[in-house]
Amino acid sequence: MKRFREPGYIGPADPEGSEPHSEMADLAGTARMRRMPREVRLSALAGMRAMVPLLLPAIPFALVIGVAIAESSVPNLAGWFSSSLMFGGASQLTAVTLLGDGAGALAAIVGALTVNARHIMYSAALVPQFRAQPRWFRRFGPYLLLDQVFALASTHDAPSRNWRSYYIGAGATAWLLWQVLVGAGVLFGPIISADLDIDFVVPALFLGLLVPALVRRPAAVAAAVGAVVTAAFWQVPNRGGMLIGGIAGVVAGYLAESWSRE
Amino acid sequence: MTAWIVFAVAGVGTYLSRGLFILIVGERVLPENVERGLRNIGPAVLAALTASLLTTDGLGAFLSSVPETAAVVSGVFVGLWRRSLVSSFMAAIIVWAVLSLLL
Repeated sequence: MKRFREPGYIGPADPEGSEPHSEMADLAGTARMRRMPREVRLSALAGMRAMVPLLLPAIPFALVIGVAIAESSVPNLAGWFSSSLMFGGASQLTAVTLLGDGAGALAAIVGALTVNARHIMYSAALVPQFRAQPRWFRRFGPYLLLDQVFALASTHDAPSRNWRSYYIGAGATAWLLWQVLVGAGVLFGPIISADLDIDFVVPALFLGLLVPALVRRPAAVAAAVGAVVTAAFWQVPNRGGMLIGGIAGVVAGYLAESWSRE
Repeated sequence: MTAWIVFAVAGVGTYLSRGLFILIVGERVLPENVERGLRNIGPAVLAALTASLLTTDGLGAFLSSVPETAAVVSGVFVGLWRRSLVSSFMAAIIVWAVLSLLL
């Protein structure tokens, strides 16, 4: 067996504590220690900086959610806590709007979860990056997986530790700003809503989220059929037409994909 | 109390939808036809939700409201053209606000 310091030695550094104190070795070690956290810190800062411009368009959306909470029959505190419990603007607004309109609890839950169905694909897309992460992060990371976080994380190429820092930096920034903005909307909602009719603002925001993302023809078919069928079944109580339209849209999109492949 | 339960259950469901593949599927590859179906859930449901909110007062009420129908057409057109949330949203809101004032 090769001894410590002999060429080809594989084992712990200075196993017997025989290495004389070396100031140079100390400095090199310190520099290494500093370099790693600095890279991690820089990755987190990069994630934070990248998230800010992506969240700017979401500011009116967050305020609208706050106003919707303030104007609905949902208690303000519960409505604001939905920001941290659900942490997803569209699903949060869906649940608040449906509850405020008098829909049943089941309809509100199903509505919120169906809006988030796209997140399943985000989860599938990020499996390669998460596979290399520690277990705690595989369990915690999905909580932060907003649309904007997915957009940044899926296009960020970095070693696993730096990628994790970048993801957390972006996600934590989004989380913090979201809580503050929705809270501001709840607090100042009655003042804002005196001059603001939000009935059309909310579907206009959904339209803005939906249409730019329709880059594939089957997705456009799914959306068009989903909208038309829902409108046709508008009289179904508890927004049941939305579920019928959603299912019809998924089936139409599936068929469109099948035909486009043939 | 109902609201707290709804938000808590929806929160757990949201987390599970975001973590489904990361937590459970891992390295396994899903059948192609399953992935094909999943890809279109988001657009179909978001469009259904938008339509549902626009027709809260009835399909006839929406179609007879010139500001709203014109705003939706503008939002769709600009969204497809500019591929931007802000552009689509602003186009719809401006058309809606201007026509609401004029008509």
